[in-house]
Parts: sequence; structure tokens; C-alpha cells
Amino acid sequence: MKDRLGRVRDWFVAQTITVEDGAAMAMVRIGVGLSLLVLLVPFVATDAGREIVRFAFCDDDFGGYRGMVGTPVVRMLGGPTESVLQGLFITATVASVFMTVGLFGRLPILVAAIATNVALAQNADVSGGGDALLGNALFLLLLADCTNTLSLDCRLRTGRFVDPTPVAAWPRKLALVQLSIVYTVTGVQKLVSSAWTPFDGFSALYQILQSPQWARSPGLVEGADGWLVVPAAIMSIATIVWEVGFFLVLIKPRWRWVFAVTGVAIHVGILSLMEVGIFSWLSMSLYPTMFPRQCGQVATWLDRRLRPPAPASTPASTPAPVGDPPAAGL
Amino acid sequence: MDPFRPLLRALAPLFEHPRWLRLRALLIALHLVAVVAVACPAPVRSMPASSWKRAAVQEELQGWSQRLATIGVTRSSADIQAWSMEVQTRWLAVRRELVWPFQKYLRAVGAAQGWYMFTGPDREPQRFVLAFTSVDDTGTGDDTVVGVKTGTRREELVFELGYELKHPELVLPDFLDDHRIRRALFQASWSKSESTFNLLCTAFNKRLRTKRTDVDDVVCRLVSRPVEHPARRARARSDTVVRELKMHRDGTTHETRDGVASTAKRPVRKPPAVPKAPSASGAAP
Repeated sequence: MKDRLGRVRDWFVAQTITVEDGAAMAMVRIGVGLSLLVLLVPFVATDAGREIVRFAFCDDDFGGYRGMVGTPVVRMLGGPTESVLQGLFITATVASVFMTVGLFGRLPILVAAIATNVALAQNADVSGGGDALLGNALFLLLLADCTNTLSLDCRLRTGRFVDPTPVAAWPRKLALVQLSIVYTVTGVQKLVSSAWTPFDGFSALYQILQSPQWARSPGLVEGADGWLVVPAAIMSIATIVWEVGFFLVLIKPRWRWVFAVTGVAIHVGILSLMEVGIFSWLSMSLYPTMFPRQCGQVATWLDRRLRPPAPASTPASTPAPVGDPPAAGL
Repeated sequence: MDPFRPLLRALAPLFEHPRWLRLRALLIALHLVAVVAVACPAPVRSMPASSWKRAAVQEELQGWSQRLATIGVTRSSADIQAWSMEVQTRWLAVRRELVWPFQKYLRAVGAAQGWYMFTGPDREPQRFVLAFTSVDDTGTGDDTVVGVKTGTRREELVFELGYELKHPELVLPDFLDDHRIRRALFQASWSKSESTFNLLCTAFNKRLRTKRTDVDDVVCRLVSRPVEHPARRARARSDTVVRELKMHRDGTTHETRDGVASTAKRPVRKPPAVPKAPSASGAAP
């Protein structure tokens, strides 16, 4: 028994000390940074966005729809007023820009994580899965050496945008596990409703697309005169099978392409038919965690394209990217 | 330019020590256990009694009653509801004891779990409708929303969530399309705190009166209509006004629920401010 536990421990420690090309988490960093900008830029730069900040996050004395005491940090900054909230969102926006271009290492990620968490926690009633995924993504990026490559930091440090120096692989593996948990648990939760099962003819999406809360055009189904019944049932089947089975990407790396392509298709569908904030963008930003080797190859290809041609006598200095072979599990 | 890089470089020998590698592995394992335990499927909070009465839930219970009958098990929907409520209460109590330390840790690092998105369709969604009455000097009453016309006043629709926005100068289209605003309006119909509806009406009342001086009454409604189900497409569906709040110019209000006037005129009082729980302990998207 002791031996077996020891072997499990050694296996797990071995899993956490592997290294790989840092391109996958760098791409996650860029994706999450851009998703954050999709969320934050309207808040600080548009009339409607400022109105949303006032209405949803400020106290009713300052244009909000409800009385709010504010989170401890917001209270410390002066209470749930528009200027405090906008200050937090502007700080997070600037941090997101630095995070996307990869400047100042993990510091902007830390700033964005704190500022968005403090501001969005102001009213949990208007929060959702997107905010939860954002918190998780920023936490995982903080653990990773995600500005080692594909960043301005890298350019300033090495003179190139791509640095093939291996980085720790465990933060990427953790991010992949987190992504699998998000999808699989969401799918399993859906099974409590017969609308996602054959008992009710996989009618879930047909009905959800009529919800004025989430559907972009709730009248679409009513106006379609029934021809959407079969496509919506097929989409419901694809969604539930894909979500419940997503944990397989941890066990069967060869199937990752199938899950990734299906995932992109489903998220494009969600983005065009529903209004769910940045959840879809954030989810897709985590997809590079499924393909560390391929991300390394893309980075190497980019490096060759961006680098000025070397003199004929100089041997190529870029080592091959290090990555988990497909059979290595995570 | 990375402020942490020199620090990490200085600490590199420490990070390569076998004891640190084992400790790090242990911390990663604990994080994984925390994430899996907290994300484990469960309703985030118990369903309030009013939610069990909703058509969608009752239809679901009836469906299970019929399915059980086909395999020879006779259970009424009331039995299944009682059993479900019991299991839910017990499971939540056990779960709370098991996961609270992990939950605290995950909240502290901003990695809250709880993934339930579009778990079940709302079969009778309620649409938030905002309208106002003003003095009708045209005599046409073109924009009358539900045919209400009293004396010389006419009712004008401002918006009907998901369908129409008639006055973009009063409520911006991008504001209304935003998922956070939709979620707030959704809370008005589904929230266990029924005061959300009144809070939203009060906020819109303030907004409309600031932007237009000719507003007489501000009217908020929750209008319910069953969704079209593939198996029951031919069934007639009609709108039902579930709740209506009229806010008069003098600050008094008049509330109607299910067609019955439940509240006479009284001023809307501001409820005490309550600090909110940390965000995103899981919610619909």
C-alpha cells in the first residue's frame, strides 16, 4: 500500500516538473487579454457601457438600481460610486492592454485580476459563468510563465518575439483540467432537465432560443414555423454530448481536435444566437492548452517569418520546441 | 521589463530543491481537489418554495411521474417534489460541510467554481415591459401597448425585453442588449428576492422622469407567455400580465399581481443596502 502511494506521489511529482514550449500559455494570455478588452472597453468608452456600470454596479444614490454597501476594497476606495467603479475598470483595461502585448510580466495580470474581481463582485446578481471563468483564467495565468514568449518582454529581453526556452508545463495542464471541468460539469448539470434528453425530444435549445433573457432574437423560433425543430434538436444533441464527454480530452489527446473544432462551432453558434457576455471568447482562449506542441510549432513558424534573414554562414539557432507528445496524456 | 523575473531568477535554486518540488506537487494536488470538489454538480443554493410552483418545474415533475408509471412505479408529482426537496436539502447540507474550506480558498484566489449554464429551459419566461403614460395631445394613441387608454392619457411602450425598443433615447439599445442588464431584468421574474422587480421599476421611474418631463405614470410589467414546444406547436399561447407596478407622478404606487390589485397607493421605500456575496459562485451565463 505504502509502495503504491509512493508510486502515485512520484508519478504526480514527475507530472509537475515537466517542461515545454511556453507558446500555448502565451496564446492563452493573448486570448484572455483580448476577451477582457471586449468586456471592458465598452464599459469605459461607450455611453451604453458607462450606463451599464452606473445601473448595475453603483449604489442607487449614484444611478444604480439597488442599494449597495460595496465590497471592502470598494468601500476603502470611496464607496460604490461611478468614479470609483470607472477607475477600477479603466485600471483593468490598461492592465489588459499590457497583458495582451506581454509587457511587465505577470504584474498586469495581477492588476487586472484584482481590479476586475473587486469591481464585478459588486453585484453578484448580474454576474455569471463568464465572470467565474475570467477569475479562473487570470489565476492560472498568474501561475504560468506566460510572457516568456510571444510578448514585448521577450522582444526586449532577447531581441525576438519568440523564445523557445522551455517553461513549466503544470500551469497549462491545470488550465486544461479546469476547462474540462467547466464543460463536463455544465453538461452533467443539464441532465437534470428532460429537455436535454430524448425524453423530451432534445427540445432544450428550441425552447431556450425563445427566452427573451438570453436569445438575441426570441421571435426567430416563432417566425420559423417549425422548421427549426430538427436543427435545434441536432444542436442540443451535439451540445450535450460534447459537454458531457469533454473530459475525454484529458485521456485521449488524439480526440482533442474533434472537441476543439466542435467547441468553436458551438461557441460561434452561441455568439450569433445568444447574449452571454464574454464566456465564449474566454472558453476559446483556453483552447491552446490542448495543443502545446502545435502552439510551439506555430510560434517557431512566426519566429522565422518575423526574424530578418540570417547570414548564410550562421547556423540556425532555434531549437525544436519542447512539448508533450500526443500520447503523454495531459 | 518583467518585475518578477529577477526575483524568480534569484530564487531559482530554491525552486529546484526536491523538497520544494514535492511541496509544489502537493499544493497543485490540493488545488485540483478543491476545484473538483466545489465544481461537483449541485444547485448552488436551495430552490425557494415559490420556484417549485413554476410551470417549468411542475411540468418536469409530471413528466417524471409519467415515466415512472411506465415502468410500474406509481408516484405522484407531489411525491416526487417532496422527495426532491428532501434530497436537495440533505445533499446541500452535506456538501456545505465538505466543501466550505475549499470554497473559501477558491474565492480568495478569485477562482470560484459552480458551472450551471442553461441547465433547463424556462418554459414560461417572463418579459420585462417598461411603459409610461403621458397626456395624449394627438388623440391617436398609436403606441398604445395593451389597449389601455384612460381619459386623455395614453400609454407608450419604452421597451419589451427581447422584442421591441420604442424609445432608444430613453433606454439605449446596447444597454438593453447587455447580458448583465438582461440578467438583472431576469432576476425580477425569477429571483427569490421579489423586491428586485420593485427596485428595477424605481430605477427606471427615476430615469424616465429625468429624461422626459411629460411622463405621468411609469408602468413596469412582467408578461408571461409559454414558449413554443416542438411537441405542442399547435397549442394556443397567450400573454398573461403576472405583475404590474404603476408609479405615479406624486410618488405613490399601485401594484397588481395576477390581475389582483395587491397594494394600494403607497410611496416606494428604499430597502436597506445589503453587502453582496463575492461574485460568480456560479451562475447562468
